Amino acid sequence: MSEQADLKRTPLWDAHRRLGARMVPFGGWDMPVQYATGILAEAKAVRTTAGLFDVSHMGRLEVHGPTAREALESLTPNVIGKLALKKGHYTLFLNERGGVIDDLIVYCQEPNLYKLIVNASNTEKDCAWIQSHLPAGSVLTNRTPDTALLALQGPLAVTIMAAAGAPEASEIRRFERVAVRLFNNPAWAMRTGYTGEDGFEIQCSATSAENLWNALLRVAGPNLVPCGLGARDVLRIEAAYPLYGHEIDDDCNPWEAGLGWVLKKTEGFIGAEALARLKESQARQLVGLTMETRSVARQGATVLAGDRPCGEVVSGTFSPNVNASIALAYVDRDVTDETLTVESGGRRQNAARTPLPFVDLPVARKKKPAGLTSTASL
Amino acid sequence: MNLPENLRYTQSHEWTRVDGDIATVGITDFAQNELGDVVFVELPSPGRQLRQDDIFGSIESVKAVSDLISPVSGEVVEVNDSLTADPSLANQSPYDEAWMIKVRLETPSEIDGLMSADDYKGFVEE
Repeated sequence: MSEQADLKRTPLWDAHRRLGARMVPFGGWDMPVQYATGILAEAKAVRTTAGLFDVSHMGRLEVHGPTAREALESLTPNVIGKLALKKGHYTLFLNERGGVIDDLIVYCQEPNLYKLIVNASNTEKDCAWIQSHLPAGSVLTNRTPDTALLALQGPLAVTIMAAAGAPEASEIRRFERVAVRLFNNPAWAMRTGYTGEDGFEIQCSATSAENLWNALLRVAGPNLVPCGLGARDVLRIEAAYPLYGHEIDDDCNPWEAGLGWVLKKTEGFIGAEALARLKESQARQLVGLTMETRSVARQGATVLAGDRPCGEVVSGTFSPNVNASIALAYVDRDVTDETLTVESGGRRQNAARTPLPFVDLPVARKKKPAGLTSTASL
Repeated sequence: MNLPENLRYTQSHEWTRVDGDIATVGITDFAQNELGDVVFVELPSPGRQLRQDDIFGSIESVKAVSDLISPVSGEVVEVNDSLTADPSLANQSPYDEAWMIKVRLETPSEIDGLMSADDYKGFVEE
């Protein structure tokens, strides 16, 4: 009990308890891992109707001032200068060795004001890192305590936004951040999420969070299921999205994690020199595995090619959408076997190498040709 | 919490029901609720000789994996294949459809050392 006393609570903590959530410590926060529905039903709902997550534990930071752009340009490998107003992108903080300090989304709110969303467990580390590299003329503020962040994810997300009074949300583009009114209360809607489904992350004041959470559930009825961190983990593994502490960490480089696409610059940011050297010497690759049995391959389990240990599992779960146990594993770069073996607790099972992502993701589907959609938007 | 009076319980959350010299073993409602959605159950083959406190299998949920520990000694005479085929039975029907193994009791007095429903209730509420 004493360790629980140190855990932070989001503005939705009471709402979770009222819904019968099972709470667990995560990144310093007391968070719902699942509701009465259960992880599998929650993860299924997000791919068939919609799910509502409390992600208020994630760090919401602000870098403000005339040097804010150059500060972030030197801290991240994606091109901050290309961000249009109200647009954001996925990027990384890298250390001098090219390792990943954290992954994050940066939005350009105003020319001198950038909004950052970082991992809960890394918020303090990130703040210290930014602060130590902040040029004169910029100020870093941690906005996490003043606000709440909800993720509304799933094929019915747009419909639910309309029912909440924001039909214009359907026009918000991926990684765009737009002011909306939901049930007549101001909020920011971002067309993002970490499930691979269409959806929104909604930022509102801490004081309005519980009303918004309850009103969304009420207006959507059975089409919107409250979802905990358990379902969030299942969904992000299905989508093969990296999570700090699993696929990425301070000793892993972006290419290994499949994040080479984030590296839009070759110089002018911390880590650039190391990356230039590392590019040719990647030792391992991230692969998807579908297990032969429903037994879950968990983080740390050994991967073998034949009888030769060749890597380890970094994330594993049972996927209700694939209806199989799936895993992400790092294996040696030269491994080409289609069937590998996973060993944990003295037990071995076969694992079939599987292309990533494990499920067909709406956000990754090819856009229709412009001619087909232009009439619909007018 | 559902705790049938006619069962005996262990600290590792198995239940045992005795009919003549046969003990049927499963996991409790409390255990299935703690585990969450069960996705995999591994059970021994019939004929396996168990001693009390031997690990006879394992049960996995999305979040956790747990050993199954035999409350009694004896030979496994029957195994619930329906449960290994559909592990979600462990959540839906822990005392009935999700029974795990039937053991021919070798030392019936072992039953006396197991907890009653009341004792087990006190144990999990501690």
